[in-house]
Amino acid sequence: MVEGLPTATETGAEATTTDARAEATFGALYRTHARRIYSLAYRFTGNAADAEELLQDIFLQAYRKLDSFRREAALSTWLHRLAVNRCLDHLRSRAARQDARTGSLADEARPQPRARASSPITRLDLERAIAQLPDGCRAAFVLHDVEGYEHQEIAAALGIAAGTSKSQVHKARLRLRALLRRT
Amino acid sequence: MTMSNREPTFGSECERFADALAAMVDEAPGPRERRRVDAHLAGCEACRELLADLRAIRSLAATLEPIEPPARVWHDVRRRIATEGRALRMAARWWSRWSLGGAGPIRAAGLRPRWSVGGTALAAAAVIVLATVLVRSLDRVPLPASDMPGGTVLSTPAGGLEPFEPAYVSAIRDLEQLAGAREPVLPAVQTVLAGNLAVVERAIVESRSAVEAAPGSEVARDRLRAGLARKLALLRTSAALGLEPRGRGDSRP
Repeated sequence: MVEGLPTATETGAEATTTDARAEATFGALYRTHARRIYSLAYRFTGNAADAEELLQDIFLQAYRKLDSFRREAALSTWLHRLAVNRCLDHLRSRAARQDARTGSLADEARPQPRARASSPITRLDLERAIAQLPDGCRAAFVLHDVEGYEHQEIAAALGIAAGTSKSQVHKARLRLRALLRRT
Repeated sequence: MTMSNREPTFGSECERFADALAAMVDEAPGPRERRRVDAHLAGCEACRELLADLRAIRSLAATLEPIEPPARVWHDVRRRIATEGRALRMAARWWSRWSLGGAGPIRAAGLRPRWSVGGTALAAAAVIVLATVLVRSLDRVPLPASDMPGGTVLSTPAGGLEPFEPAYVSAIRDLEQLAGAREPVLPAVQTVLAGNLAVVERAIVESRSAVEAAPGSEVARDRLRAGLARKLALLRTSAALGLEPRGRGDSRP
């Protein structure tokens, strides 16, 4: 055996111990945060397949970057920021691949045709409606109304003005109202 | 949350209150603005409904439940972490021992504990060997399918890698060019690398275990593609981290 290189036995034994420890630790991290991050990804993308891919990517990124985690912020905050940034990257790349769905919002201000009498709106209805929002206003809406971020934080994350964030959230609510009325 | 079905109509004045209503969903207006808006709302059913609906949407959104991700995501994450962890740990040990002179023959020979020409060439050679082993092992290693129902061991479908091989050829060409820009690799170095191939090959086999599907299925191909992409990324990362930082700009004596 050449000096300076790990032997197969040495490497195997070390890998077994270290991997088991790393997996246990990271598994706990995953169990704690996966639901929230998956929910974020699902609502950002509007579909389960992309959300699963994002969830996997986010945790792999977290694994790779754990060394760079500084304890200035809580791990959950750090992880969630990582997730938001990854979701935003996904939306940007998707927007680059295809024209973002844009639609006139003028019709939402007008009365919409009513399909039926008083409609109890469920969370499921709202989830479905959120999935139909255009990417831009969906991101702002999810971050503000679902995740509870402030407009200033959203503006910084999206690279827009705080006023634009407010406007996007309002547009999203108007569109959701129109979508839910058709439910 | 309930949305009414009656059809109140917006009047000509409503437009002037649109911004105020939007703001009132999130925050209470000042007293003066409040009186102005309230006066309008008192006589405008359409705006009252709009405001109520928007507030209801906001309230409902804040109560949305977290969604449970499918269990398979964690299985994939765990598998990829295991693979990357071992490969990166090995690379880190390897680089540190050889580049920083931990206990290797470069150090023992009294050479400077930094990337010399030989060390750089060695790193380049390692990357090439890694790539070679990767391609060869991908061609012959069966696919363990421990997570598959019944635990069936799958064989790689014949010709299943062809669509992905161009990417490997391209990557290896890049790495060879990288190595070609430096000094020839010492035969002794190649011997050293050959001794480590068994360990590297095991890491590759484990990477292959990430591929789970029946032969010829689209799922299998997708997962295989993902596995190959990850390996490519690892090779490129090794080349970038192992060669460039030490190859230039190292001002240590």
